[in-house]
Amino acid sequence: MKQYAIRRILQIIPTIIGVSIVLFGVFAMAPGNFVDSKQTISDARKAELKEKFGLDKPVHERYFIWAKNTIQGDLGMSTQHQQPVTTVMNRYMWNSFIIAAIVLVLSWTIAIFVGVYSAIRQYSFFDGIITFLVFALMSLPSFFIGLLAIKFFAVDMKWAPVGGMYTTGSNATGMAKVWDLVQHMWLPVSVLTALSVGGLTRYFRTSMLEVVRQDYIRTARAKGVKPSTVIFKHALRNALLPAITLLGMEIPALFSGAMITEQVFNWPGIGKINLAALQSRDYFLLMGFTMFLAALTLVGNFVSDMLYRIADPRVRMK
Amino acid sequence: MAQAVDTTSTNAEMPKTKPASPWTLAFRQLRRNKIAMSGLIVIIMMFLICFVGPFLSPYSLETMSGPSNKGPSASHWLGTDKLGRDILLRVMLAGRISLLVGLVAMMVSVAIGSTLGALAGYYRGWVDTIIMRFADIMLSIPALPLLIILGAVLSDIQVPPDQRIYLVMFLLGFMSWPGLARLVRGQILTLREQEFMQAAEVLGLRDKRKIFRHLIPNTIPIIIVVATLSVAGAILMESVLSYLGIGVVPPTPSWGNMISAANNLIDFKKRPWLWIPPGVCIFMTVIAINVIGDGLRDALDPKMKK
Repeated sequence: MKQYAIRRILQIIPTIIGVSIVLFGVFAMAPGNFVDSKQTISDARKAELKEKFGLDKPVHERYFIWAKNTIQGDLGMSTQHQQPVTTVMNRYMWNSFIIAAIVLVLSWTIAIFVGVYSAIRQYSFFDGIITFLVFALMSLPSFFIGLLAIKFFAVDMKWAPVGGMYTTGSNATGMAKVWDLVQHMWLPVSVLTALSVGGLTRYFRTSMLEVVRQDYIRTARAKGVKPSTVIFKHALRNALLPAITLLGMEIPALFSGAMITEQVFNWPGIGKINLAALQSRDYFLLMGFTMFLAALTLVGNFVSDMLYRIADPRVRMK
Repeated sequence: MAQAVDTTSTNAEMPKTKPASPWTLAFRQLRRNKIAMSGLIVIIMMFLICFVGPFLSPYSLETMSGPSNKGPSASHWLGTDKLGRDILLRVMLAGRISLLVGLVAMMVSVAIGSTLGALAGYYRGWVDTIIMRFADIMLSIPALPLLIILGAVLSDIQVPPDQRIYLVMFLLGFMSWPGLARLVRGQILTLREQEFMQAAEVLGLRDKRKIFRHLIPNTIPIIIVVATLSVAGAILMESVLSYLGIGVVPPTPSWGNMISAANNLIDFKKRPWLWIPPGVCIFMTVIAINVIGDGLRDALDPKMKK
């Protein structure tokens, strides 16, 4: 087990180096850097700034400088915010985290119940409707459904504010503040839950269908165990096992923010900040954020592999 | 359940006629899948409307075809935009672009993914290590943020809009090959050990022939399924990028950049006919492709059969 963990970690290192090279290569392709594109500053000042940010050096040297700083936890300065990238990311990440955590709990709960029920009633009317809904949810363009939700629930029905996290200018504290937050949050949370619940439901349904066909379920039924016990104790536990893998992969989603949804709902999360960085060509922020996401993805994969091995001894044998 | 009936009926026919090929069987099964067939009909309709429809429209995009910013009416079924262009015509022309982007991106991804996957699986060793390591790297970079940076770069080097479409198609295709490469490689690893490959060896066939004529054709079922689903993925991705203004850019219309009309608060609140029709088109196309892909998976992938 320990050996496997070490081997996996050693595998991650060349991958993350590769990721950094690819990202830096793309970054270096951009011709108009943030210094040249500013027309208001003099050539002398430009040269000075270039030296400060290391833009006067050849690409490979810049890469090593950047890589060294990144390892030391310094992702550079955000030109737009005039603050270190890590500070900016840390400030906005938690706004994304609140939403992502709630969405995670909601979508998993709904998906497990609906998926299992749909599987034990396979080919029933309910199952048919769920299968169709799952397809519909999985095919929704996130920004379009977000826009539709705002148009209908916020603009037409006025059930929610049009966007943002708190009412502008409000200095409410305590419960009033929480209530303000909830009012702003319920619509993006619902949209994101709808977007992620489809795939999950499908996953749990398939997983459950596989388990119900196993011999041990037949044995349990044959020896006269109550049907509900068969489903919830014998089947569900085994069906949830592969889901552990999925849970590990959800780690990046918790911190990465939902770029498009945050943009549409004007939610001050890290995804929206990243898109704003795109507008102002704040490449250090864009790079730092993408690098951070890639690292999270690798960590997520690692965690899910390890969890699965801990949970399922059969995998360990192979 | 339905499959059980199928096997008995084909078994009964077998002595009399030539045994049905796997393709015929798969097609029969697909035809019985009502959901997948309705998806297919929707897609065919969508293609027909987008590619033939504009010829039947009395309007053109070059001239004002009516008063600007008018809601749906008898002469303009989906209304007009601020330049007085007919929205229905724009939606159809945008559909051409969006569908084409999806198709070409899929072809790029299939060409790269199946070739690299086959090479990795056939040669193993260092070829495999290099290709799959690179695939791992691509898989761990989140697609959307990377595409956003690439889109920004495209805007910065000022690629003209008409050439930009091709670059977007290629980029989208290039982002999605690693998943397919992995699947194809896995299949080829088992296929290359089978007897027919020994026969190919004995016949002294060249590697190129072995890979492209004997190995890859055996992975086509899985390629078809992944390819179908990747068209949907590419269309969705293109719409997101174009909505953000870094995919297909005006004056070339695409469903995604038509929806960006909603970024204008007044158009968003008061003129939903500007941005709802293209959104509905994306949704319908993607859902149709997804159900076809799922039907194909049931029909073609023996492992998924229940």
